[in-house]
Amino acid sequence: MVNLSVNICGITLKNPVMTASGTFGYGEEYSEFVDLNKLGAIVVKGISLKPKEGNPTPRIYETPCGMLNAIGLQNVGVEEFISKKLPFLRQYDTPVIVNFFGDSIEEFVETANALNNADGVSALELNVSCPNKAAGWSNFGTDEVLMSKVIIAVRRVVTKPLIVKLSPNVSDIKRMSVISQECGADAISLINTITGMSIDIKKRRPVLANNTGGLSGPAIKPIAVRMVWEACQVVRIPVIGMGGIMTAQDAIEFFIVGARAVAIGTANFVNPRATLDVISGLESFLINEGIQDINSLIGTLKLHERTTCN
Amino acid sequence: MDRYFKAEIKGNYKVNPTTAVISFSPKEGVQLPQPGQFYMIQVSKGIDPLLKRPLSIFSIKDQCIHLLYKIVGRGTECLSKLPLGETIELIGPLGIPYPTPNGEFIAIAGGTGVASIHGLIERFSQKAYLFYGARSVEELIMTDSIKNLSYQSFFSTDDGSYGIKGTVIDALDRVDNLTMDVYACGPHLMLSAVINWARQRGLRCYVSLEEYMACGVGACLSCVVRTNDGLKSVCKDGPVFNSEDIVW
Ligand SMILES: Cc1cc2nc3c(=O)[nH]c(=O)nc-3n(C[C@H](O)[C@H](O)[C@H](O)COP(=O)(O)OP(=O)(O)OC[C@H]3O[C@@H](n4cnc5c(N)ncnc54)[C@H](O)[C@@H]3O)c2cc1C
Ligand SMILES: Cc1cc2nc3c(=O)[nH]c(=O)nc-3n(C[C@H](O)[C@H](O)[C@H](O)COP(=O)(O)O)c2cc1C
Ligand code: FES
Repeated sequence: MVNLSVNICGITLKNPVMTASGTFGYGEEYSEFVDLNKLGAIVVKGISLKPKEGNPTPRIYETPCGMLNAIGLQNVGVEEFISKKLPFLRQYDTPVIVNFFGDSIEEFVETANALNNADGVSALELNVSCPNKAAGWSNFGTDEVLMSKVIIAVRRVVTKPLIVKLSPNVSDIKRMSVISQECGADAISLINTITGMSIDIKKRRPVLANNTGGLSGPAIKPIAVRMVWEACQVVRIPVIGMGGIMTAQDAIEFFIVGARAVAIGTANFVNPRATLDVISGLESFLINEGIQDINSLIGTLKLHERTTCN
Repeated sequence: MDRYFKAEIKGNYKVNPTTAVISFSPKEGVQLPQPGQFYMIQVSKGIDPLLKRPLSIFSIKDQCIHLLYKIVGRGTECLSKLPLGETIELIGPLGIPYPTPNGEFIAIAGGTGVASIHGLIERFSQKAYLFYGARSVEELIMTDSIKNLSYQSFFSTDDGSYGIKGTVIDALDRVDNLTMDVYACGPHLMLSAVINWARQRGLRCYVSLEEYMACGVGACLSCVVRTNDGLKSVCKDGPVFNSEDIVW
């Protein structure tokens, strides 16, 4: 038997495989396909203070080896989440991580507070990839000052582990990783989707009703691996890696560059049991490689000696 | 009752240059579908195209499930090239089926909406007043089978190349005493017209909707439609809705 268990900011996970926010609903939607007890953690759809309707349709469009989405963070709101969705998840012996966002710092704080007090929430994942009303809708996740402010404000009210989920739409992910750590994050997760666009050439209009959307799926995996690697070099806190993971082999790349856990997103749509397949594939890999413990695989990257710029 | 399963392709034949029927036999223990439900079907072996495509139940016959699809893009193009004997993954049956008709009913199909309506009239054979419209005769499919399954059938084409010249509404307006429940599947514009037609006559109307889908199980929230009770997922709360519940 190999050990798959990892520890993320004080939470012990049975295995290092979680679901990525927004791709697994509130857990219940996939409970018919996946024994939720087998997952490392369940990360639910992003929650805001008030229910949110999201964008008009079309909200998704398939692109080569991936998809664009502009769901617009539709969700039931924190109150209904706690009263209607959380009781279902509490039946399982799997940590629940709640992804949340707001369009102002006050909203972030109020939502975080409610979730911090809710029974059955193991950790909070702060989604900074959303626009800020007060700052002319500029994005929390791409503006260092805004991002620091929101993390510090949320940290003040949150006693549970706080994970900051980083946006990849920045020029220096190392800097954003360090800022998150310095502002009090217990862990960081990355990457969120990469902003993209597709055009209907007959209509000369964007395909998505929102014009732009977030790219996810295998197409973004090399970018995700590079960013997770960069982040792991500069922070002491655990890093949760995601972006385009379809198989255990994909996940292993993230562990090797230093991720302590991984999340499976778009792959769930293609294969509702993708999480379980990744877990069993990881186990087989460790056995075949003669590795007793997943923790001794993490961060074992052997770099080439660099001679030139890429 | 596993709704995520693999099946061997038993048939994959074109019924006209741009439309094909793919068939598979469900494994033992797999839930049998109801008319109006759909499957998310794998269209390629690799990761491009990545997502499964939603296709309605066209027919359940000879221990096989048959899905009829129009080749409109890369996904359906790939699907049409899959050989017999290949094993593919499916998720389904998904969604809420058509409610069981009380006796006779009006069934209205536009374009590839015929797939889902065919599934319905096959199950409730000889009960349907069927109205089936398309742009031209080349796009009408399975007209003989549809005639046989329906109690009465009326065809319409925009260019008059088959049946009545005009839309399904023009065809409906020519028939007297249509007072039964309405079941419709087709393009958005046709459904809007059908809903209006039914409303003017005080008829109950069920419509099967289409939206872009990724998961098919209500998790990704890509396929929403506005209803009197807020946003609903077409894949999970539909695809069949009572027309009075939806807000377009
Ligand atoms: C519940 C449901 C049942 C359906 N049943 C049938 C059926 O029985 N027979 C049939 O021929 N078609 C059916 N469709 C439509 C079918 O899913 C799309 O035509 C197919 O996904 C197109 O894939 P593509 O890759 O070939 O096309 P793409 O290249 O992706 O797109 C071509 C065009 O197809 C349409 N389309 C693409 N993806 C979707 C999608 N996920 N949902 C709806 N429309 C889409 C768009 O209009 C697009 O412009 C159904 C759709 C839904 C939602
Ligand atoms: C349909 C969809 C909805 C998403 N919703 C959220 C969300 O609510 N909050 C969030 O932080 N990330 C959200 N994401 C991003 C994913 O959690 C993940 O970071 C991203 O998709 C990359 O992983 P993947 O390539 O495995 O999907 C969403 C992604 C998709 C595809
Ligand atoms: S397709 Fe994902 S919610 Fe309907």
